[in-house]
Amino acid sequence: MAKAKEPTNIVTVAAEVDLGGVLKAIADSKTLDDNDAIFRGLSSIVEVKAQLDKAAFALRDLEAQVKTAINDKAKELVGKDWQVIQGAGYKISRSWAGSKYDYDEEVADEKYLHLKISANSEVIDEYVKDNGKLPDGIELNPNRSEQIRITVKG
Amino acid sequence: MATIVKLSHSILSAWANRQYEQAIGMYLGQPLPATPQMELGKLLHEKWANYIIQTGKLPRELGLCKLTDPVPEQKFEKLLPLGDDLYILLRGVPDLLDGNVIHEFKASMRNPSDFVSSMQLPYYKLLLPHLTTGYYRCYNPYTKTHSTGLQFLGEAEAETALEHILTFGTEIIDYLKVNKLLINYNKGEYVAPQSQTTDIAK
Repeated sequence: MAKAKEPTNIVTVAAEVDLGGVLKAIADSKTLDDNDAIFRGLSSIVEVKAQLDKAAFALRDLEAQVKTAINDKAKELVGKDWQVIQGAGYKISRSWAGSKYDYDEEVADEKYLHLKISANSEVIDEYVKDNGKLPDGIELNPNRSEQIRITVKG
Repeated sequence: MATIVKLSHSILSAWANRQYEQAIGMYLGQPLPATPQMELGKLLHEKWANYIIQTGKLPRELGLCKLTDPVPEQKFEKLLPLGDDLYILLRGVPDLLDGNVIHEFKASMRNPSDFVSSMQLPYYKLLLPHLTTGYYRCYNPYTKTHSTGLQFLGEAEAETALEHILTFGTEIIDYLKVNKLLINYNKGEYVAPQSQTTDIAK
């Protein structure tokens, strides 16, 4: 049996900048020698910012990987139809972007469509509820892209 | 003589959502006006329970997975003390108990996300402390699709349920007492609230 691959993405962020101290030093400086140290200090702030930006970028990439891993694992353990997983302090939701329904403009009645020329989910839902079926020219959209959202509760 | 008030998740959730008339109606055993959706849901639940008993599996509409030790629609109850000889008899009938997993079936257009924020599974955790996991198995009878929500059930969920019961349970009991609607499940007769007698004496 193949072993799970060991994680290799490690993001370490440790930054300490005394912003108050730097600003005070600028205000208090009188000689050029003082300014050299201050300018060096300002440069180090920019350097820290660059590192944090790099870490943030890596975290965004890691978050996308984690969401894919969660989705794959949830499909395996809960089922391909999983939609939400909740535990103490967190909730993971899976939703789909894009229109819920697709339509055939040759057939679908205008009242079921938005002015933006997309399927009107609310009106269609009401029709489905009342009639037990989709209106003519309306079908479920098979092309919705999925999104994973993780909420952490305090 | 101890007073035992029979309550359930449906009654307390209706009360908590300010559907007071519905809550009191359910408490008094008045049947809810049946809608076509409710009738369909009831039929589907019966069909699914029979299928599970016969096959030991979930039906296709709910995900078609094997079960270990399925027990559909068994009634459970638990006595919760409120103090001063007053108890809540909490009752629940889960759609399916399977070992330490509980399943609630929903036949509606709503998503599992709508249900995980409810107290239904935490109530079952309080009733059945050995539970570790709960599922909302949602079947949309109009589009013939299903979706699943998973909720892990730990001590925190049981405590949240208990808090919910104590908060809204005491509220509804106070209302029942004032309006002389309280039924002591212990004796099955109306109980006159003592506080009212004290007011009349003044």
